[in-house]
Amino acid sequence: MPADQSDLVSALAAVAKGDRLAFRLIYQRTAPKLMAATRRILGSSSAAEDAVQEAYVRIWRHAVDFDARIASPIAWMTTIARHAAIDVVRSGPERVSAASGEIDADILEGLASPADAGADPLASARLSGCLNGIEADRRTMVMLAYCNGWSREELAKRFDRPVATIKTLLRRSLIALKDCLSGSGR
Amino acid sequence: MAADADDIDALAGEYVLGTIDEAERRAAEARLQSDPSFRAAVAAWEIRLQPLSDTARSQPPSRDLFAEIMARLAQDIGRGDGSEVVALRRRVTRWRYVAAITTAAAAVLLVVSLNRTPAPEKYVATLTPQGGAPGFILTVDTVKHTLTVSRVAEAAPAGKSYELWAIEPGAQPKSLGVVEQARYQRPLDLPTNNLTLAISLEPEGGSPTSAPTGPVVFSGNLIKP
Repeated sequence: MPADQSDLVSALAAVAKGDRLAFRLIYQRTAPKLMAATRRILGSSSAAEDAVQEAYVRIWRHAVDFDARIASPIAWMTTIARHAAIDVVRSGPERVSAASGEIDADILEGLASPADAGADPLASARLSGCLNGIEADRRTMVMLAYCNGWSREELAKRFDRPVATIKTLLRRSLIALKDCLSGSGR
Repeated sequence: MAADADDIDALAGEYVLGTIDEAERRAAEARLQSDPSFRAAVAAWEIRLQPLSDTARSQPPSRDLFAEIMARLAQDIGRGDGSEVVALRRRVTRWRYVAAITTAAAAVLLVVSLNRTPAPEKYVATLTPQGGAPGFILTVDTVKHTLTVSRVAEAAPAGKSYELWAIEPGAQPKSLGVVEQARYQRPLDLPTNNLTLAISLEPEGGSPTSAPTGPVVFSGNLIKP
């Protein structure tokens, strides 16, 4: 975990006890990042703002669940925000026809050379290497799901495969990624 | 063994990706509360995949989302002690699973929490430059008579100090001292009604007089949120 996250850890502990100031500090530190992640899923800034609003309500309510021994504050909050954005997407129409279904080349490039000051360049490089190690379609599935919030059903349409197959492929890709990242490479 | 671990990891990974459907997600969220190995698997996936989120360009919200968030949370916060008991109950639930503590011990914890003294009255001021982002956040506890100062802005430039001033209506600014740390607490014995607080930029060590000599860089009013 990057060193500058230790203040987020203590702030989350304070929020769990109802500390509004700590909550404000967390908001100021992390809102632009949560905006970025949700905007990519929702495609517009105003929709992202609604999802981010919902995300901080959940962060306040679930701060007590944050476990600093195993979790990273920014990664924990990003998941909450992405899930809030995905909830919005799932309640709307399917998007396969409207979206290209291609992964923005910028994402893989950005992963290889992260510009974000808060990013961990080593972790980015390893994830980039391991993503490049899995077959192109499977990599695209994982990235459309993570970055753009695609569901199994949407991926099934895009790749013209049954939903159950998509589930299997996603899970195999994830296990391959995990093995690659942990260096066990079986 | 390995297959089980892979199953947990695959589900945890799909949970983080967001590809599981609503019913599966609800089941996964329940499992997060009860199964420490699943919780660890989810946290590990969040960390593994975070670099992908770091590639998205940061963008500050354009509207005052924080005010909207606090308005939505007003009910939670208004409950005061109640929400803390809920939080504690959740923690107790987790302890039951994680450390298998006894129900009797949990009951003692709840009793202790219910006997807590009521929450003190709190006042808050956000000090901003004119129309800009907050630079300092101050909270006053009227029971303990303390003022907590949190600096959000950059530290004062080299050779300069931030000095905090309290201004009662119609009175001269009263120095509350030089800001030495990013966050600290000090006693406060001033009425909290209509109190204005301001930060001026002074020579290192603070104003040489009893009044601000440098520009006021942040200011705001104390309010009861």
